[in-house]
Amino acid sequence: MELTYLRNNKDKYIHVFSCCIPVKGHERGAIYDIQREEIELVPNTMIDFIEYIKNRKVSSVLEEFESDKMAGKYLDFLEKNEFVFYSNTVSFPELSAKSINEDTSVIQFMTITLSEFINNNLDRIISNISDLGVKRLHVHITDQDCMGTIHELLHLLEHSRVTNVSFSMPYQKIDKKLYNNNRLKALYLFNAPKEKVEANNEVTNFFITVSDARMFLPKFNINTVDVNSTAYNIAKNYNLSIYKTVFVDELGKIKFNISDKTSYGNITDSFEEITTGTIKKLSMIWDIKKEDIAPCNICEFRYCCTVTHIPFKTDDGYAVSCNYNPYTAELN
Amino acid sequence: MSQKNEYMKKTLLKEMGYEKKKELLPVIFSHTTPMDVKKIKRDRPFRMVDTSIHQSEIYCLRIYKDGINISTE
Repeated sequence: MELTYLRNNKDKYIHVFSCCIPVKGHERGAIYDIQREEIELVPNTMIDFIEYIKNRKVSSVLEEFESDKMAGKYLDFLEKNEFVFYSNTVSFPELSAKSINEDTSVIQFMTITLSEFINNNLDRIISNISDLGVKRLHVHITDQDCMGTIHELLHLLEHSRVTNVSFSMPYQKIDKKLYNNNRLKALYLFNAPKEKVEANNEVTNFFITVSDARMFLPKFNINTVDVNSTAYNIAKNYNLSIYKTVFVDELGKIKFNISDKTSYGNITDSFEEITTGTIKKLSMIWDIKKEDIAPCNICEFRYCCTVTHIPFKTDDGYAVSCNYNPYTAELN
Repeated sequence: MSQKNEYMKKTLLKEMGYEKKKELLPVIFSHTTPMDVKKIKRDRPFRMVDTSIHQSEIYCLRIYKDGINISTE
Protein backbone atom coordinates (compact mmCIF):
# COMPACT_ATOMS: atom_id res chain seq x y z
CA MET A 1 0.00 0.00 0.00
CA GLU A 2 2.73 2.45 1.04
CA LEU A 3 4.67 1.67 -2.06
CA THR A 4 1.62 2.44 -4.19
CA TYR A 5 1.37 5.80 -2.46
CA LEU A 6 5.01 6.52 -3.14
CA ARG A 7 4.71 5.47 -6.76
CA ASN A 8 1.73 7.77 -7.19
CA ASN A 9 3.92 10.60 -5.97
CA LYS A 10 6.96 9.64 -7.97
CA ASP A 11 7.12 12.90 -9.89
CA LYS A 12 7.04 14.98 -6.75
CA TYR A 13 9.85 16.19 -4.52
CA ILE A 14 10.50 15.00 -0.97
CA HIS A 15 10.45 17.79 1.57
CA VAL A 16 11.06 17.82 5.29
CA PHE A 17 8.57 20.01 7.20
CA SER A 18 10.46 23.12 8.32
CA CYS A 19 9.11 22.60 11.85
CA CYS A 20 10.63 19.10 11.98
CA ILE A 21 14.27 19.39 12.93
CA PRO A 22 16.57 16.40 12.49
CA VAL A 23 19.39 16.53 15.05
CA LYS A 24 22.32 14.16 14.91
CA GLY A 25 23.83 12.95 18.16
CA HIS A 26 26.82 10.76 18.86
CA GLU A 27 25.03 7.53 19.63
CA ARG A 28 21.59 8.31 18.22
CA GLY A 29 19.70 11.14 16.63
CA ALA A 30 16.40 12.87 17.27
CA ILE A 31 13.74 14.56 15.21
CA TYR A 32 12.12 17.49 16.96
CA ASP A 33 8.59 18.31 15.91
CA ILE A 34 8.60 21.82 17.32
CA GLN A 35 5.03 22.50 16.23
CA ARG A 36 3.50 19.43 17.83
CA GLU A 37 6.04 19.64 20.65
CA GLU A 38 7.18 16.07 20.31
CA ILE A 39 10.53 14.38 19.98
CA GLU A 40 11.30 11.10 18.23
CA LEU A 41 14.56 9.36 19.02
CA VAL A 42 15.89 7.78 15.86
CA PRO A 43 19.10 6.13 14.63
CA ASN A 44 21.71 8.52 13.28
CA THR A 45 21.49 6.81 9.92
CA MET A 46 17.96 8.14 9.61
CA ILE A 47 19.23 11.69 10.05
CA ASP A 48 21.76 11.03 7.27
CA PHE A 49 18.99 9.52 5.17
CA ILE A 50 16.82 12.64 5.62
CA GLU A 51 19.70 14.87 4.56
CA TYR A 52 20.32 12.65 1.56
CA ILE A 53 16.75 12.43 0.27
CA LYS A 54 15.45 15.91 1.00
CA ASN A 55 14.54 18.03 -2.01
CA ARG A 56 15.07 15.00 -4.27
CA LYS A 57 12.49 13.46 -6.56
CA VAL A 58 10.59 10.48 -5.15
CA SER A 59 11.30 8.49 -8.33
CA SER A 60 15.05 8.96 -8.03
CA VAL A 61 15.03 7.87 -4.36
CA LEU A 62 12.84 4.86 -5.12
CA GLU A 63 15.13 3.83 -7.93
CA GLU A 64 18.29 4.19 -5.89
CA PHE A 65 16.95 2.28 -2.88
CA GLU A 66 14.89 -0.26 -4.81
CA SER A 67 16.56 -3.23 -3.21
CA ASP A 68 17.03 -1.65 0.21
CA LYS A 69 14.25 -2.68 2.58
CA MET A 70 15.48 -0.47 5.39
CA ALA A 71 15.32 2.66 3.24
CA GLY A 72 11.69 1.81 2.52
CA LYS A 73 11.03 1.44 6.23
CA TYR A 74 12.70 4.76 6.96
CA LEU A 75 10.66 6.56 4.32
CA ASP A 76 7.51 4.93 5.62
CA PHE A 77 8.32 6.06 9.16
CA LEU A 78 9.07 9.62 8.08
CA GLU A 79 5.88 9.79 6.10
CA LYS A 80 3.62 8.26 8.77
CA ASN A 81 4.98 10.55 11.44
CA GLU A 82 4.48 13.45 9.05
CA PHE A 83 8.10 14.55 9.08
CA VAL A 84 8.21 14.57 5.27
CA PHE A 85 5.75 15.43 2.55
CA TYR A 86 5.71 15.30 -1.23
CA SER A 87 5.14 18.30 -3.42
CA ASN A 88 5.49 19.49 -6.99
CA THR A 89 7.20 22.61 -5.66
CA VAL A 90 10.95 22.25 -5.90
CA SER A 91 11.91 24.06 -2.73
CA PHE A 92 10.44 25.43 0.48
CA PRO A 93 12.19 27.88 2.80
CA GLU A 94 13.76 26.55 5.96
CA LEU A 95 13.21 28.14 9.35
CA SER A 96 15.17 31.31 9.76
CA ALA A 97 18.22 30.88 11.99
CA LYS A 98 17.23 33.91 14.02
CA SER A 99 13.47 34.01 14.28
CA ILE A 100 12.96 34.88 17.91
CA ASN A 101 10.07 36.95 19.01
CA GLU A 102 12.36 38.30 21.69
CA ASP A 103 10.88 38.65 25.10
CA THR A 104 11.14 42.03 26.76
CA SER A 105 12.04 40.53 30.14
CA VAL A 106 15.57 41.08 31.44
CA ILE A 107 15.22 37.93 33.55
CA GLN A 108 12.40 35.55 32.76
CA PHE A 109 12.82 32.62 35.16
CA MET A 110 13.70 33.01 38.82
CA THR A 111 13.97 30.63 41.75
CA ILE A 112 14.33 32.32 45.12
CA THR A 113 15.04 30.80 48.53
CA LEU A 114 13.09 32.53 51.27
CA SER A 115 15.10 33.53 54.37
CA GLU A 116 15.21 36.18 57.06
CA PHE A 117 17.40 38.31 54.80
CA ILE A 118 14.97 37.99 51.88
CA ASN A 119 11.99 38.73 54.16
CA ASN A 120 13.68 41.87 55.52
CA ASN A 121 14.20 43.17 51.98
CA LEU A 122 10.99 41.93 50.44
CA ASP A 123 9.72 45.25 49.08
CA ARG A 124 12.94 45.94 47.19
CA ILE A 125 13.09 42.36 45.91
CA ILE A 126 9.49 42.31 44.67
CA SER A 127 10.09 45.66 42.96
CA ASN A 128 13.18 44.21 41.23
CA ILE A 129 11.30 41.04 40.23
CA SER A 130 8.65 43.20 38.66
CA ASP A 131 11.06 45.59 36.91
CA LEU A 132 13.20 42.74 35.58
CA GLY A 133 10.07 41.27 34.00
CA VAL A 134 10.26 37.88 35.70
CA LYS A 135 7.43 35.75 34.29
CA ARG A 136 8.04 32.44 36.02
CA LEU A 137 8.85 32.59 39.72
CA HIS A 138 9.52 29.76 42.12
CA VAL A 139 9.84 30.38 45.87
CA HIS A 140 11.46 27.82 48.14
CA ILE A 141 10.31 27.96 51.77
CA THR A 142 11.57 25.87 54.71
CA ASP A 143 8.98 27.08 57.23
CA GLN A 144 6.75 24.28 58.57
CA ASP A 145 3.73 26.59 58.55
CA CYS A 146 3.97 29.00 55.63
CA MET A 147 0.42 29.46 54.33
CA GLY A 148 0.34 33.05 55.61
CA THR A 149 3.67 33.83 53.93
CA ILE A 150 2.42 32.44 50.62
CA HIS A 151 -0.74 34.57 50.80
CA GLU A 152 1.38 37.63 51.54
CA LEU A 153 3.78 36.94 48.68
CA LEU A 154 0.95 36.38 46.21
CA HIS A 155 -0.59 39.66 47.36
CA LEU A 156 2.71 41.50 46.83
CA LEU A 157 2.99 40.06 43.32
CA GLU A 158 -0.45 41.29 42.37
CA HIS A 159 0.79 44.11 40.14
CA SER A 160 3.91 42.35 38.90
CA ARG A 161 4.58 40.83 35.47
CA VAL A 162 4.84 37.36 36.99
CA THR A 163 2.30 35.05 35.36
CA ASN A 164 3.37 31.72 36.80
CA VAL A 165 4.28 31.14 40.45
CA SER A 166 5.09 27.96 42.30
CA PHE A 167 6.22 27.22 45.85
CA SER A 168 8.14 24.38 47.47
CA MET A 169 7.68 23.80 51.20
CA PRO A 170 7.73 21.10 53.88
CA TYR A 171 4.66 18.84 53.97
CA GLN A 172 1.80 20.68 55.68
CA LYS A 173 -1.92 21.42 55.45
CA ILE A 174 -2.70 23.55 52.42
CA ASP A 175 -5.05 26.51 52.68
CA LYS A 176 -7.67 25.88 49.96
CA LYS A 177 -8.07 29.63 49.37
CA LEU A 178 -4.74 29.48 47.53
CA TYR A 179 -6.39 27.56 44.69
CA ASN A 180 -8.29 30.70 43.70
CA ASN A 181 -5.12 32.61 42.85
CA ASN A 182 -4.66 32.77 39.09
CA ARG A 183 -0.88 33.15 39.24
CA LEU A 184 -0.31 30.10 41.38
CA LYS A 185 0.39 27.01 39.29
CA ALA A 186 2.15 24.48 41.49
CA LEU A 187 2.95 23.55 45.08
CA TYR A 188 5.76 21.10 45.81
CA LEU A 189 5.51 19.53 49.25
CA PHE A 190 8.66 17.69 50.27
CA ASN A 191 9.00 15.22 53.19
CA ALA A 192 5.47 14.03 52.39
CA PRO A 193 4.39 10.62 53.76
CA LYS A 194 3.16 9.46 50.35
CA GLU A 195 4.01 10.36 46.80
CA LYS A 196 1.08 11.76 44.85
CA VAL A 197 0.01 14.46 42.42
CA GLU A 198 -3.32 16.25 42.70
CA ALA A 199 -4.92 19.02 40.70
CA ASN A 200 -7.08 21.71 42.25
CA ASN A 201 -8.39 24.32 39.82
CA GLU A 202 -5.21 25.28 38.02
CA VAL A 203 -2.89 24.45 40.87
CA THR A 204 -1.07 21.15 40.83
CA ASN A 205 0.18 19.78 44.14
CA PHE A 206 3.21 17.51 44.01
CA PHE A 207 3.75 15.49 47.16
CA ILE A 208 7.37 14.32 47.30
CA THR A 209 8.64 11.83 49.84
CA VAL A 210 12.26 13.02 49.69
CA SER A 211 13.72 16.07 51.44
CA ASP A 212 14.70 19.32 49.74
CA ALA A 213 18.43 18.55 49.96
CA ARG A 214 18.82 17.65 46.28
CA MET A 215 15.76 19.39 44.96
CA PHE A 216 17.49 22.10 42.96
CA LEU A 217 20.56 20.19 41.84
CA PRO A 218 20.64 20.26 38.04
CA LYS A 219 19.74 16.83 36.73
CA PHE A 220 18.78 15.72 33.25
CA ASN A 221 15.49 13.87 32.95
CA ILE A 222 12.48 13.86 30.68
CA ASN A 223 11.00 16.89 32.48
CA THR A 224 13.97 19.02 31.51
CA VAL A 225 13.36 18.48 27.80
CA ASP A 226 11.32 21.26 26.23
CA VAL A 227 10.51 20.88 22.56
CA ASN A 228 8.80 23.93 21.09
CA SER A 229 9.56 26.63 18.55
CA THR A 230 10.61 29.33 21.05
CA ALA A 231 12.88 26.97 22.96
CA TYR A 232 14.46 25.84 19.68
CA ASN A 233 15.03 29.40 18.54
CA ILE A 234 16.58 30.35 21.86
CA ALA A 235 18.78 27.23 21.76
CA LYS A 236 20.03 28.12 18.27
CA ASN A 237 21.15 31.53 19.45
CA TYR A 238 21.85 31.23 23.18
CA ASN A 239 22.26 28.64 25.92
CA LEU A 240 18.65 27.54 26.39
CA SER A 241 19.31 26.12 29.86
CA ILE A 242 20.47 29.33 31.49
CA TYR A 243 19.14 32.05 29.20
CA LYS A 244 17.43 34.67 31.39
CA THR A 245 17.28 32.08 34.17
CA VAL A 246 18.60 32.71 37.70
CA PHE A 247 18.71 31.21 41.15
CA VAL A 248 18.65 33.56 44.15
CA ASP A 249 20.01 32.06 47.36
CA GLU A 250 19.04 32.92 50.96
CA LEU A 251 21.58 35.77 51.02
CA GLY A 252 20.09 37.27 47.87
CA LYS A 253 23.06 36.27 45.69
CA ILE A 254 22.14 35.94 42.02
CA LYS A 255 23.56 32.74 40.50
CA PHE A 256 22.65 30.30 37.75
CA ASN A 257 21.94 27.34 40.01
CA ILE A 258 22.16 26.26 43.64
CA SER A 259 25.70 24.90 43.30
CA ASP A 260 27.05 27.93 41.43
CA LYS A 261 30.08 29.33 43.31
CA THR A 262 29.92 32.67 41.53
CA SER A 263 27.69 35.49 42.66
CA TYR A 264 26.81 37.76 39.78
CA GLY A 265 25.14 40.36 41.97
CA ASN A 266 22.49 40.66 44.66
CA ILE A 267 18.73 40.77 44.25
CA THR A 268 18.65 43.69 46.71
CA ASP A 269 20.93 45.78 44.44
CA SER A 270 19.35 48.65 42.57
CA PHE A 271 17.63 47.87 39.27
CA GLU A 272 20.33 49.87 37.45
CA GLU A 273 23.12 47.91 39.12
CA ILE A 274 21.47 44.64 38.13
CA THR A 275 20.83 45.61 34.52
CA THR A 276 24.25 47.13 33.94
CA GLY A 277 26.47 44.87 36.06
CA THR A 278 24.78 41.56 36.84
CA ILE A 279 23.07 41.01 33.49
CA LYS A 280 26.26 41.83 31.60
CA LYS A 281 28.12 39.10 33.51
CA LEU A 282 25.26 36.60 33.24
CA SER A 283 24.81 37.15 29.53
CA MET A 284 28.47 36.38 28.87
CA ILE A 285 27.71 32.87 30.12
CA TRP A 286 24.28 32.40 28.56
CA ASP A 287 25.71 33.46 25.20
CA ILE A 288 27.78 30.25 25.17
CA LYS A 289 25.70 27.94 23.00
CA LYS A 290 25.48 24.19 23.54
CA GLU A 291 27.23 23.77 20.20
CA ASP A 292 30.37 25.13 21.87
CA ILE A 293 30.10 23.01 25.04
CA ALA A 294 31.28 19.41 25.44
CA PRO A 295 29.56 16.96 25.49
CA CYS A 296 26.39 18.97 24.65
CA ASN A 297 27.75 19.57 21.16
CA ILE A 298 27.30 15.90 20.29
CA CYS A 299 24.09 15.39 22.27
CA GLU A 300 20.77 14.84 20.49
CA PHE A 301 19.02 16.99 23.12
CA ARG A 302 21.21 20.07 22.58
CA TYR A 303 18.35 22.19 21.22
CA CYS A 304 15.76 21.21 23.82
CA CYS A 305 17.64 20.55 27.07
CA THR A 306 16.91 23.00 29.89
CA VAL A 307 19.05 21.58 32.72
CA THR A 308 20.81 24.53 34.33
CA HIS A 309 24.37 23.27 33.93
CA ILE A 310 26.94 26.04 33.92
CA PRO A 311 29.69 25.67 31.33
CA PHE A 312 33.25 25.84 32.65
CA LYS A 313 36.36 26.70 30.66
CA THR A 314 38.62 23.92 29.45
CA ASP A 315 41.82 23.94 27.38
CA ASP A 316 39.88 23.66 24.15
CA GLY A 317 36.57 25.37 24.87
CA TYR A 318 33.79 24.78 27.37
CA ALA A 319 32.38 21.73 29.12
CA VAL A 320 29.66 20.66 31.54
CA SER A 321 29.36 17.64 33.73
CA CYS A 322 26.00 16.04 32.92
CA ASN A 323 24.26 12.90 34.20
CA TYR A 324 23.24 12.05 30.63
CA ASN A 325 26.00 10.52 28.57
CA PRO A 326 25.39 11.19 24.88
CA TYR A 327 28.25 8.87 23.90
CA THR A 328 26.29 5.89 25.19
CA ALA A 329 22.78 7.43 25.31
CA GLU A 330 22.53 6.39 28.95
CA LEU A 331 21.77 8.15 32.20
CA ASN A 332 24.55 7.89 34.76
CA MET B 1 -25.79 15.53 10.79
CA SER B 2 -24.41 12.02 10.81
CA GLN B 3 -27.75 10.68 9.68
CA LYS B 4 -27.70 13.07 6.77
CA ASN B 5 -24.19 12.03 5.85
CA GLU B 6 -25.14 8.42 6.07
CA TYR B 7 -28.10 9.06 3.81
CA MET B 8 -26.00 10.97 1.29
CA LYS B 9 -23.38 8.26 1.31
CA LYS B 10 -25.96 5.58 0.71
CA THR B 11 -27.56 7.57 -2.08
CA LEU B 12 -24.24 8.23 -3.69
CA LEU B 13 -23.24 4.60 -3.50
CA LYS B 14 -26.56 3.61 -4.94
CA GLU B 15 -26.14 6.03 -7.79
CA MET B 16 -22.63 4.92 -8.49
CA GLY B 17 -23.28 1.25 -7.97
CA TYR B 18 -20.97 -0.62 -5.65
CA GLU B 19 -18.99 -2.33 -8.38
CA LYS B 20 -18.43 0.92 -10.16
CA LYS B 21 -17.25 2.60 -6.97
CA LYS B 22 -14.67 -0.08 -6.39
CA GLU B 23 -13.37 0.54 -9.82
CA LEU B 24 -13.35 4.31 -9.58
CA LEU B 25 -11.96 4.98 -6.13
CA PRO B 26 -8.33 4.07 -6.66
CA VAL B 27 -8.13 6.28 -9.74
CA ILE B 28 -9.84 9.30 -8.27
CA PHE B 29 -8.60 9.23 -4.72
CA SER B 30 -5.37 7.29 -4.82
CA HIS B 31 -3.32 10.43 -4.45
CA THR B 32 -5.19 11.70 -1.41
CA THR B 33 -6.32 8.72 0.66
CA PRO B 34 -4.24 5.77 -0.41
CA MET B 35 -3.59 4.35 3.05
CA ASP B 36 -5.61 3.43 6.05
CA VAL B 37 -5.86 6.82 7.71
CA LYS B 38 -6.31 5.31 11.17
CA LYS B 39 -2.93 3.69 10.87
CA ILE B 40 -1.19 6.88 9.86
CA LYS B 41 -2.65 8.93 12.69
CA ARG B 42 -0.26 9.38 15.56
CA ASP B 43 -1.10 8.38 19.09
CA ARG B 44 -0.92 11.97 20.18
CA PRO B 45 -2.19 14.32 17.48
CA PHE B 46 -2.16 18.09 17.76
CA ARG B 47 -2.04 19.32 21.29
CA MET B 48 -5.53 20.23 22.38
CA VAL B 49 -6.14 23.73 23.63
CA ASP B 50 -6.91 23.69 27.30
CA THR B 51 -9.76 26.12 27.87
CA SER B 52 -8.90 26.60 31.53
CA ILE B 53 -5.67 28.34 30.55
CA HIS B 54 -5.67 32.06 31.22
CA GLN B 55 -5.83 34.56 28.44
CA SER B 56 -2.31 35.69 29.31
CA GLU B 57 -1.03 32.22 28.60
CA ILE B 58 -2.18 31.91 25.04
CA TYR B 59 0.40 30.40 22.76
CA CYS B 60 2.41 33.49 21.88
CA LEU B 61 2.92 34.52 25.50
CA ARG B 62 3.32 31.06 26.87
CA ILE B 63 6.42 30.19 28.86
CA TYR B 64 8.65 28.05 26.67
CA LYS B 65 10.39 26.17 29.47
CA ASP B 66 9.76 25.61 33.14
CA GLY B 67 13.08 27.18 34.08
CA ILE B 68 13.04 25.80 37.61
CA ASN B 69 14.52 22.31 37.26
CA ILE B 70 12.93 20.84 40.36
CA SER B 71 14.02 17.27 40.89
CA THR B 72 11.23 15.30 42.54
CA GLU B 73 13.09 11.99 42.81
